[in-house]
Amino acid sequence: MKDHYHKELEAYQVSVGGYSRFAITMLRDAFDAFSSLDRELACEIAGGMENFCIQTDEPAMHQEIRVPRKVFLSLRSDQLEEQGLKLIALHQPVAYDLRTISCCMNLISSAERIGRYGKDICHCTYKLPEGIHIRGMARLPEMAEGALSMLEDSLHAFQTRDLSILEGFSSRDDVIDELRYLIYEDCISIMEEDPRTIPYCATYLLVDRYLERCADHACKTAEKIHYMITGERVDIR
Amino acid sequence: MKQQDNALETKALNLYYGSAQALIDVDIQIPKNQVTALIGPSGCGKSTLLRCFNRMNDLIPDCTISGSILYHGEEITGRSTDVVELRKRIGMVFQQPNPFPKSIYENVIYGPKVHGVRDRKQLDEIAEKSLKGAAIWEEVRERLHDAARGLSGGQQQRLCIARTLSVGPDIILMDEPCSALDPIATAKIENLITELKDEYTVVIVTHNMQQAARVSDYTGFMYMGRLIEFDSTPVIFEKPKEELTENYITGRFG
Repeated sequence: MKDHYHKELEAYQVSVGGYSRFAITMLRDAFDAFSSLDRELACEIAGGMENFCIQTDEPAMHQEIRVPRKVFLSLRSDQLEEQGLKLIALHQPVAYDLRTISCCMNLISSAERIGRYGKDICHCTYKLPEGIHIRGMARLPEMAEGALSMLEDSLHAFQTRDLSILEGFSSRDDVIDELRYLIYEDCISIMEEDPRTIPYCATYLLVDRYLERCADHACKTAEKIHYMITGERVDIR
Repeated sequence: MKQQDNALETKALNLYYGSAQALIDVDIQIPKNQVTALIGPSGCGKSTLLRCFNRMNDLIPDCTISGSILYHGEEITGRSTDVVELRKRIGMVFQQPNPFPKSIYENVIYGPKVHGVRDRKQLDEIAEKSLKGAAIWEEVRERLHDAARGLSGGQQQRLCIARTLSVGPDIILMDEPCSALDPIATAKIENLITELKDEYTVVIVTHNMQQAARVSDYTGFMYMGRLIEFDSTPVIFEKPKEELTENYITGRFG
């Protein structure tokens, strides 16, 4: 029979996993909104540009109030952090339990950062005209897929406690870093060829940077998960 | 760890109360000038082990032991050991503060007087030094001749520590010294334990795991008469090697 505290601790991990899932989905949707230059989706995520982005014939008083996902992202982060602190203060956990809460706290702040990069990508969407991208968005879709799969895998490892999922994270991160510089170089030469591409390439450079950061968060999270499970510190990348 | 660094050591220690075995093949090394905590559920043998160190178990009928206990490398289980002298060197503090129904001053000098010190000046010096050592001097210096039972529980406990120090021990055994005290008195005793290790070796039995984590340098986890794991305190509380230890300290027991 499990006592109240351990049930609470398990529920907490489920909540943190759920929050992490929310943030990763936010990033994925943000990149989709950017790829398809879908301002309405971008606005649903990042908010702030409703009048510019959402066309509706409904009179204002009949429009539903939309709360952008970034608001939930930030509120939930504080709530979960407080729950973790409360568990520490009330139960003074040690060993595996303490490492778990510490890992959860790290996951929360990483997830919030990832969600906010999603928001930033949405802001890039606002800056481009509706229509289509140029040059297949350099190699950003490939990079986004790489970073997102690392985030998905680290979350999966957290939920299943299966460290084998994290094997190869270093080399996957190397691939992302390489792409980052390839895209950078590409964008520079595209802009040099034709100055009309500058608004596009400038946002590509920003998204390039955001995605690289997200992959880095996946690596740091993987380190924390490793510590949570084994008690040993490892350096991933 | 080098032999001479251990204040106490047991080898294959077995102890029986009648036919019931309370300690099973305990091998433990208590490092000198360090605080060692013994933790474990009720009935695991931690108090029994503590009481072996100054032969308190001699007082229990039907109690038999085998194996050896070394005090600074010297066997103390034999008949030739001077138990009175041993208990002078290895003092003990109990869960319930137990001052004698005498004055504060008389409590502290009781031991030295029994051991033959008669000189008033010398006794005064011992009293002051012991009370200072137990971090209670400032609180009682103006009322040394008041009744010890009039002190608060925390003060009484520190008085008992002073009484232990008065006969010049080098090891202090503490059996749940804070269990009967409020949090403030507990914090004072914990601070004191940390200070004591400059001069003394301290072994403490506690049910309060946070206390063990706070005050001790080494921790031994006992279960059903066996020493399951012994290591530096951070290792025990951050990543113990034994699953049993982990289950106990994280409260997943039973």
